[in-house]
Amino acid sequence: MTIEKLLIDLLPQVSKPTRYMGNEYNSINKDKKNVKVHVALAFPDVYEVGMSHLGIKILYHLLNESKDLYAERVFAPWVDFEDIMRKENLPLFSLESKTPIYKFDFLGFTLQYEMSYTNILNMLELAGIPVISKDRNDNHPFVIAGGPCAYNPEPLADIMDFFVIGEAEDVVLEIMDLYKSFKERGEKRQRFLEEVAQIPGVYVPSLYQVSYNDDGTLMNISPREKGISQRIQKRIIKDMDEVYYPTSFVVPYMDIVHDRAVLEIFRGCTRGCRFCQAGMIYRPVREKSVKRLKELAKDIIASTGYGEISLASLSTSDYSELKQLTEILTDEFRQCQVGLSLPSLRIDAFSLELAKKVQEIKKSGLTFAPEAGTQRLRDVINKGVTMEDLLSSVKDAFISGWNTVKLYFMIGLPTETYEDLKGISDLAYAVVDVYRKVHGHTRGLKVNVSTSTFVPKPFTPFQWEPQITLVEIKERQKYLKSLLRKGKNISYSWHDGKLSLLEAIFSRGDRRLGKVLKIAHDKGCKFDSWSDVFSFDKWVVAFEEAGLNPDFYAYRKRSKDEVFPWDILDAGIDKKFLLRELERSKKALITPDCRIRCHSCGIKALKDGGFYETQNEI
Amino acid sequence: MKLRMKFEKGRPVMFISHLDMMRTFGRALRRADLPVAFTQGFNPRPKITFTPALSVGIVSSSEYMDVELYEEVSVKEVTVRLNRVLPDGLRIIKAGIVDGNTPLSMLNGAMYMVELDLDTLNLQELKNSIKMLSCREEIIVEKTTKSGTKLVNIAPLIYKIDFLDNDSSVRLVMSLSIGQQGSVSPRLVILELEKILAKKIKVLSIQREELFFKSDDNKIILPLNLAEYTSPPDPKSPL
Repeated sequence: MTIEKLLIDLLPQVSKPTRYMGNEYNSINKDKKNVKVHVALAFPDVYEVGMSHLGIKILYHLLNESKDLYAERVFAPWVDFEDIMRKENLPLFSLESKTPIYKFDFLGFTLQYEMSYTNILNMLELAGIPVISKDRNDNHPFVIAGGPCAYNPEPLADIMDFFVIGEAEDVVLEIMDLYKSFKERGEKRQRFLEEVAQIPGVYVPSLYQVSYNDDGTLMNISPREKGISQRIQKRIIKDMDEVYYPTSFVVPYMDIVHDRAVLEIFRGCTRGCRFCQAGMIYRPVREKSVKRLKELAKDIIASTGYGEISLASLSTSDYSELKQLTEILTDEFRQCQVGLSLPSLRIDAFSLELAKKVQEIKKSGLTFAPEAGTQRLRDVINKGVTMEDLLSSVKDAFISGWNTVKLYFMIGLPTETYEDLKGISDLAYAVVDVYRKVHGHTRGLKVNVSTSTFVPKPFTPFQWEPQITLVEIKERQKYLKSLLRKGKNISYSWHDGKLSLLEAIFSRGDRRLGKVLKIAHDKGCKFDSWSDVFSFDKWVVAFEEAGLNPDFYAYRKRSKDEVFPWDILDAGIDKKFLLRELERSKKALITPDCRIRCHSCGIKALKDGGFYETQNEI
Repeated sequence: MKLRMKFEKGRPVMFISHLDMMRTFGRALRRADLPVAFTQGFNPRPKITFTPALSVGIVSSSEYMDVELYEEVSVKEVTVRLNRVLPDGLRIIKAGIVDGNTPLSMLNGAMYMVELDLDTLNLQELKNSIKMLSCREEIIVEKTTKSGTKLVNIAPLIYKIDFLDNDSSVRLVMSLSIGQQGSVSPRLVILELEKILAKKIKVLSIQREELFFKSDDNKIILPLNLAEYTSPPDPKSPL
């Protein structure tokens, strides 16, 4: 029986069967006979999460532009369907042609968060593909990965055949071309790995050897053979107007997490927040032009029929012609009732003005992210926002009719004291006071404070810093709870500290962690970011059995000359710059926006894209 | 102007929910660039109404929707333009202008074709069980609602069950109540038959064949008697 027929019997038994159905409008069906390279694009989470991710959509449509390439999608089956698949011996299959994944040429994962790693192992197992790369043979697909977490590829080094570092639009086509020639030549798997390693931006972990010092830190990570590059430089796209961008996006049937058209307006960020990995690895800033964006927006709405279009970027307010762009788009779409949303606005007077104009932003909620509770700590992390900024924006928002604000903070930032935690609470109460001053009462007001625990990330100035301990996380959350409980209009929610701990381990871990992943997976760990499935106890045992100490990865302060697992990569950011930023953070010194002054982070050496310097007006 | 369209919901979309389908049509209408009227207010919605929800997993050759347009467009053009941008499995079969006499909310009956697996069934036993079920004045079942479970008598909701058989299959034609006065799904009827037979019935397929309004004096009115435009048959049609 074909998988297609089997599904008609099986899908009525599972929750949300549309997750596995495919057949959405704009999804692409090709005759497999005419295809030279068959690629499965995987997001290691459920459909509604994966379908909300822009990167995978870009690659899907980009690859399918070529007649001889066929990209299909695959997501992690939810636990109910997984049980049925295992019972029925149904292998993991692609959404479009319902082809078993083991038959593909490539299986590419996007790595958006560390806590999706066990799902990767689980999906490989469900696909019938050996989980460990060295166990695969010529009949198996190449298992590859990219995305932000690939900036520390080492924890997945045993699992992935290779990684793609940086923006994939160009490099993925280079890989496809190489594969076509490799297939024609009929060569062995190993040969392809050696050849693909020659493509800039490709990292083949099995071609590198790792040695460790007695204290467990890395001594060296270096190529096993001559001719393999010492360091892999990230790939970036030079011209954002020239780069491919899809317009005929797949339109899901079910309600997914971000169910709207997405218009990417620029890449990179110039703010330089010291905790933020995205702000470092996606440099430099490269914008699409208003003219190009207008064309794209029109085409996207015409071909998808979405009723909402969202501008995607880091710090959207920094787009140099945001006012003009939003005016053009609201004019364009007024007639056909398409709303505009700007999810990543910095809340200041100008943005509020904009938010008021953009009808789709509902008056029910506004999110502010001061990140830290006191000015001192905000200076430490280089988050250039003051209490006055925040309170005056909040006041404007209240006057304009908003009555729910979300305040987002991190706890456990370097140098944080209980005074800084008190600052979080003070800010929340100050917001309540502003509302009372505006309206004379606090009826209807909701201030939702939420905290997550700081996770030190590679390629940030805080990559040397420890995370606070699990005990300490709980203490600080408890303290905040006690302070915020008294506020009638205030509610407090927090991110599970155990997840933050695991994130901290894997974000800066080395390739020995592959063993932990394997054991955790064998014990049944999956969907770790879903609280109803997550099992911390299994992880604790997995570390014990692997003989690795979680504290070593999460709680250890690194010395300045330590070799990091991700040093094999060149993200375009100088370590010297990161160290300078670390020093400045310790003195609570602000480093201004790159648009004001160049701080020599090193990205200019990549010679792609435009760069902001003093000559740029603000 | 208000249009009524009859459409089919085929196998490729058999698992999408009613809400999914409403969203899908909203987007298709925008892709078709039709002058759809929107509700006023803070959260404008397209003025579309649908017939009562079809259970997930059931295909239908007879769903209806009313769409209000703020400009005159020919019925044919609306149909052709919409069919061009509908996903596989959804297709407008015919359309006409709504007379205003039979709002879709009035519909109270649906006819289902239920195909059963012959292998495990004794025909005579099955016929008897249908007769027994049809005679009963009370068939109490437990229904789960948002506020918990309650007991419902579904006997008055079963209008009629006919029996069709040929060499290869057994088919039941069920006329069942839908809409505000209460509804019963063909699956629930099968469940009751299983109770009488004391064995499992394997259902091969369920298809909604028609929706109608049944008046107190048992007159049947179809939602779209006078279609102005009928789509040519689709060779790819999954039904």
